[in-house]
Amino acid sequence: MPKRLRSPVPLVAAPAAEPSAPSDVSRVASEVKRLLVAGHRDEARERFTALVDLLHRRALRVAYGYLREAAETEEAVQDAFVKVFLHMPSYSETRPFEVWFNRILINGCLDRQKARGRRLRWALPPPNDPARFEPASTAPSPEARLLSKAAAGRLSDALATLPPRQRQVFVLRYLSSHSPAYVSDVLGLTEATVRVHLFRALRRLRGLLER
Amino acid sequence: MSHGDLSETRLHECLETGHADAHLAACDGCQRCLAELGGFTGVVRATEDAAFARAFPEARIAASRQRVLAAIDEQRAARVVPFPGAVQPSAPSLRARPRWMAAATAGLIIGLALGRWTQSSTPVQPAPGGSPAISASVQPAAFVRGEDDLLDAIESVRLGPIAGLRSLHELTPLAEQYDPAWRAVP
Repeated sequence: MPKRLRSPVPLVAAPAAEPSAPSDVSRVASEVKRLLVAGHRDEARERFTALVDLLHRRALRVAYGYLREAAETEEAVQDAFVKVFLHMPSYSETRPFEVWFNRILINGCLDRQKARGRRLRWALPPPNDPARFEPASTAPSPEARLLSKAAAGRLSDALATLPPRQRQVFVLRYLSSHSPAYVSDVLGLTEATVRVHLFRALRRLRGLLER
Repeated sequence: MSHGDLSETRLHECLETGHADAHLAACDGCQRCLAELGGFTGVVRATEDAAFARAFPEARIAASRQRVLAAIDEQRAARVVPFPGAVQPSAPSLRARPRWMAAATAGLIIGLALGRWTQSSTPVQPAPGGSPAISASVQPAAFVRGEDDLLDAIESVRLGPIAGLRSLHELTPLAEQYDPAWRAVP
């Protein structure tokens, strides 16, 4: 059972490892919060567009790492942005905004995974459902496309076998390219624990994919 | 793996932290293992990049961004989140209260009317195991129309044949020695 991320995690003094991007994001988020608290909702909404521009693509990658389905990924990201905008006045500026946002996003993804699991228990889809992967947009050749789709399919299947925590760590570190320090901040784990989970996830995936 | 080679955990740590281990610099085997590990993570990343690019072409990302902004506008128009400190206890609605009172009054009137109608239309049947003397003499309260009727009803109960009480009187035959008025009771 995937564990939801706690919201008030004890603060760790270590800063996030991507200093430039989070600081930009946090700065814009602080502006949006100030505008909302002051009652300037239209201006806050306008400024929030910049926040969406900064976070949207990466949010899609994180959510896709969990959900592996494009439409549901978009819904999860949309929900997270709406939730964040509505609760922006409760954002604590002592933490990087991206950490707060990612926790909300990941919790939403975990809820969706849980709901999907419930649905699957009642109505099992065919094991090789072609709808799981989106049609290719541009590919050099049908063979290459087939190979890459097969590889992505194998990776998805292998990821699905990972324990929830290993999967969380792996998605954030290798599929979303966040630093270990940042992953530890988002998940509320020490960096050493993150490395242990990463190592176990890698070993398991290698075993599965290199067969 | 020979004695002194780096463990998988240590290799992974080197990969993650970029720390150059002294043994690693001198050991071809460990370097090869590290390169394999790095290569594997590279393949995983590349596979994921390709899957993401297939699932989310630029046009789809742009459309998704527009939908996010539209959803925020929609929520903003639909909901006003109150500041927690400023929440006031909501006063009862002026429209809801008369509606509730009207419903209660209507229910009461209908209940009274139905009760009166059923009692007046069905004669009171004596209880199967009850005393016929008492049942026949006792009038239900619904028949009492006024003060005089009420007094009449009480009188009829007091003066009527009360066989059930007579048996009690017969159980206490000496009572008249102390109170001759007992015999006065018919």
